[in-house]
Amino acid sequence: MTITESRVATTSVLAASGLACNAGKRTVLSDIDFDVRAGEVLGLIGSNGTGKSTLLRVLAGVRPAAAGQVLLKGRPLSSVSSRERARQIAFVAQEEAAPSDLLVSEMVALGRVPHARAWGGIDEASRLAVANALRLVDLEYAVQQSMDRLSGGERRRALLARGLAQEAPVLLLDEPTNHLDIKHQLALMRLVRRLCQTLDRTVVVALHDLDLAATFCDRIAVLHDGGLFALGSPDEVLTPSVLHDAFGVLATRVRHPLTGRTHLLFSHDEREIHP
Amino acid sequence: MPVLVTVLLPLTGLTVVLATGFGAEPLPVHVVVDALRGRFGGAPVDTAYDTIVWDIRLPRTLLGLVVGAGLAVAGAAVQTLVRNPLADPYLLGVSSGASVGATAVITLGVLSSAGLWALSLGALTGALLASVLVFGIAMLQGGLTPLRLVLTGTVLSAAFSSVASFLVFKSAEPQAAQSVLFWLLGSLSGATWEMLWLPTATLATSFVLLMAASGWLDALAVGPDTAAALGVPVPALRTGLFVLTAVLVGVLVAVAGGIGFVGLVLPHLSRLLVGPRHRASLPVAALAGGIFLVWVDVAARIAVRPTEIPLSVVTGLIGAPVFLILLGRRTYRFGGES
Repeated sequence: MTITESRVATTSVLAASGLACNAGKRTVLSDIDFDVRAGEVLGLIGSNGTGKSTLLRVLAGVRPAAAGQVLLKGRPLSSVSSRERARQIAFVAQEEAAPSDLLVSEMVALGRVPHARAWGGIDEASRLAVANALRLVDLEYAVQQSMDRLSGGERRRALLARGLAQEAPVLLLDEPTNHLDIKHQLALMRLVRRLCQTLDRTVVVALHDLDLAATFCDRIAVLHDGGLFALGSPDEVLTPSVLHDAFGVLATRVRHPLTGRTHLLFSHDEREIHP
Repeated sequence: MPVLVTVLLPLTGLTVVLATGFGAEPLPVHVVVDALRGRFGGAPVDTAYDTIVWDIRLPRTLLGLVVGAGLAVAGAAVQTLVRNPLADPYLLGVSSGASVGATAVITLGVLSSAGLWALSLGALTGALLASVLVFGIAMLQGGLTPLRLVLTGTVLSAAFSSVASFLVFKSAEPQAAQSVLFWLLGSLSGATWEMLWLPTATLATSFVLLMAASGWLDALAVGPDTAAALGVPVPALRTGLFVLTAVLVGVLVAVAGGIGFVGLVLPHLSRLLVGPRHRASLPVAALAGGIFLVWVDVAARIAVRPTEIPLSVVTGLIGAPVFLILLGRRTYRFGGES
């Protein structure tokens, strides 16, 4: 079953058009078409290896598309200079390979690289952006610490702060809640929502936690079987049928007794549900 | 201006004056100062002193400063390029290529028409040809990625060294082996004023370019994807870094031979002192590298008078323990888990 939206959003900020993505030499995704609308949080879900990270990399312009193209406000991303691209799109990868002995403040200040001139030091706007980003992720206490000394969750938040310091209208986040405790998972997703609502950012976020996706995303794109399997509001997409096809699990929707929000419960075993 | 640079700058001046006093005939500091003043409009001094200080020793001290600074800067650039703490300026095959050229000059007498410049010219030619080869092969096999560069550079270095050894082996000249060895281990003994301008200009240009790109280099050191996401044109930056270090190291090796350890240890030392940001660490590496090599050269001149020890012997003896101490520090983790 496939749900796709045909409505052409006039406020499309980022769009995939006939997009195919390679991981190494293998094509993992093909024929991807969708729009990211201004001001929305678009969740990207799919089981391991379906190409969420690969798609984000291509959307961010970090890796080239294998076919088709990414459109940034209607312009092909490949024709945008890398500097201009980084001013429009901030991408925070899932893991950063090498540990680094940069200070937290220095790591976050790297987000200002696309705004800096050669030779130019850190100007007032940059200082402000860095301080603001650190405040948003609740990491002001760690400014002068080395990145190496941080816990996994603090590292994730520092990297997110670097993305925020870029002050780009589009934010692509690859599993930003990894390594975070539940309080910071919720805080981070609330922050993501707030960025969209009050700071006019647009966010595409890959998530493993479907319940977080259901709670915080405006729309959800499901990747499965080498393509875009479903796209729509959480209610439209996170149905037992889609989740069964895309993840191979049995899902039940329940209403939260206090908030009234819809949540998902999962089982792997048919016999548990239909004894 | 970082605090350390303001400390290191006067220290550099002091080093030049003090180091120039050392040699076959030790000169007191005031004689050196008087001789320098004499050159800059002060009272003229004894011609003998003037010759020793101005014509013989000062070019050598200054060449030591330039070569030491250049190697440290090139080492820092290569370590960022390949994101490997064990990388040194010679990783990319430049020095072994230079050694083939120099060995060919010493054993086969090629380029003999160039006279005094033959050795430098041979080394420079070898260095540049080797870099072109490393660059071409790495590009053909998938681009200038750290892994490609390390593998290609290491493998080709071994091959070039074999060629150089073969040239020495088949040479009829009994002195050849020793000349080649002495050249390979590095020396500043050939320093003249004419020899100074090329390495100085190359170093100055490289330094300015690296400082201008310091933000990009910081991002590249964190990782290629991060750098790309921050708007750094990664392939172009890598190509630029490769060409810049190849030319810089080629020129340095051509004038001073293959001086080891400076380019490996000094970048680490400067990161340890002022942190990993290139804007801060490159100037410190340059000045510290210059000061270090000048004093190494002093030690090499006076340790076993009247002969001179090759510089790599001294840098190795000092560099190895220093590097071990650096590696032992748990808080320092450039490019990998400790």
